[in-house]
Amino acid sequence: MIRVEFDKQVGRLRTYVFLGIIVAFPALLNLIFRVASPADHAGADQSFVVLAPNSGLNMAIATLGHAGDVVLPLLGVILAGSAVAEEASWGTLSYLLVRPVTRRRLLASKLLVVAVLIIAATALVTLLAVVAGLIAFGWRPVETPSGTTLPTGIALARIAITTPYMAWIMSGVISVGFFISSLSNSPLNGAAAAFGLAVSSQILDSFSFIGDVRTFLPTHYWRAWEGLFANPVSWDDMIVGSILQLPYVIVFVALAFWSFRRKDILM
Amino acid sequence: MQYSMTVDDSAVRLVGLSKVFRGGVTAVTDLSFTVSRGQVFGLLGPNGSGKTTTLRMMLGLVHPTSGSAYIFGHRMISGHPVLRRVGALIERPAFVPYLSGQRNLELFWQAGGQPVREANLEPALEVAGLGDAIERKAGTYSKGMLQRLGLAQALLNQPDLLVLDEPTIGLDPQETHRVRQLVREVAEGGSTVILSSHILAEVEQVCSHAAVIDRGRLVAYGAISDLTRAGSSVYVEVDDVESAVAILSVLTGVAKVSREGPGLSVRLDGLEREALVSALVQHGIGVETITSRHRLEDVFLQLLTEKSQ
Repeated sequence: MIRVEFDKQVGRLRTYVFLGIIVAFPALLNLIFRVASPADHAGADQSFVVLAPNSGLNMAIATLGHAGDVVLPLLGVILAGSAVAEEASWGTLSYLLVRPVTRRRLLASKLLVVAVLIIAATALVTLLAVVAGLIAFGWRPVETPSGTTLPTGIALARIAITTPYMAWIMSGVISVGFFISSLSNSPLNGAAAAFGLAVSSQILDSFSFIGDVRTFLPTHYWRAWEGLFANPVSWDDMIVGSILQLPYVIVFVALAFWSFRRKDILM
Repeated sequence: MQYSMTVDDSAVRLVGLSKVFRGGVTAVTDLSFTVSRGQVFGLLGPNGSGKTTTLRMMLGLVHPTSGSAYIFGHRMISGHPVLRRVGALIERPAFVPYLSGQRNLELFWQAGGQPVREANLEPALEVAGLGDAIERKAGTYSKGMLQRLGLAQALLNQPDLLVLDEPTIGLDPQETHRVRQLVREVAEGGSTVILSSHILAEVEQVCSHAAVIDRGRLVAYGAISDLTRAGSSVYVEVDDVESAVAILSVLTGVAKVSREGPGLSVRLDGLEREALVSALVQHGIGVETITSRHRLEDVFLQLLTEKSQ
């Protein structure tokens, strides 16, 4: 079942489009940063974006920031949002379920494939961000916004840790997309709902006057991995952020299984 | 008191099956019938009569509001292992559009947890008769090609029970003939076939038994030979329809007269056909055609006329 679900993603135009985006994104960002330097317009701001041209790994960190905010969540919600709903839209859902396969098993296989693809996409973006950064800006230690310097070896190790964090920190939003997908007959609904949630959550998160409620927003800790490059490493936000995904994941994945079991398959 | 244990040797048994969809639409009401092993069973009904919902409940795709469906004695739930013995074409064939016909069949098969080599692939591909097009993306197939590939898919596991929902829709006469031939072959191999159709002739030609449903309720059920025994109505064409209606309406032994196309449909209640003809002739009306209708036609035409009124 899991093999079958993977096979459906291989040799599919969409998969290659996604791959193209994952390859093109770091390349384009590096090109832009080579042509125009952000430092000229930064003023006193010392974020990773401003520091990007200082070293290849700085550039990689800046690239990951943008990939994690938009590109990866977008790919993720499309994968999750279409997982079940596209089978319904093709009419193949009925035929998957007239095989001796329980609905729980089908849904679990779909979820697993979505998870693996998201982790793979995150790892690939990270790898390409590092490669592109090193080609464009060279092998030098990382300069952090706090003014300290990280040796390249340590910086690389910490960049590697961002992959599981970035993949997991999206899981709340992804779960919402997967839940909607299990109900819907249109593959766009889940993606739209989850992406809408991510965007609204990010907008709300920008209103600091709302107060501490913001910490419960699913996207609040999306950038907490930047704490890996502080000195000393600040793990607190990453740990809290990771734990706070759990209620979203548990509730919406459980809802997906619950509603899919009861669903009348008419498509 | 004596208890007896009966072995359920039915292929399909529906017991008081009902479905009310969310929103209150009633699709099927208290439907019960049994399909014995080896039968070619027709599920006949006008469009929208609840045939597809019935088949979907039978296969565990739609949850009944009440009642149960049993396949080979097993109470059906979604994904039941007994589905290994079932092949199905429901409503419309459907495939992953960006994969080839062949790849679709292989993945469909593997999704059931069995290796490709155990599939009945070659004979099934022969049924599909797609030739080299089997390597093309399913999204490019014509309706007829999809229908044939859907049939092939349903035959992959050499099913003991084959469920076909309107299998000849979208096929040309030659292909229709082939499908009917195929159903006979499958049945000759000892399998049970359930075939839904809104076409009376199709069920008459292919099936050994049938159930007629309308608005989700069972209206007739039995062996085709019983159902097609001479019925109680006749179709008459006369040279003066107006007068014929007037005469027949008051004739004793006539239950109902209604116009139908160029002629009249007359439901008899005791009157013999000969008596009907002579009554008309005595009044100077020329009878051009008279045909008896059998019971299934009676039932089915009555449904269709009621529906169109």
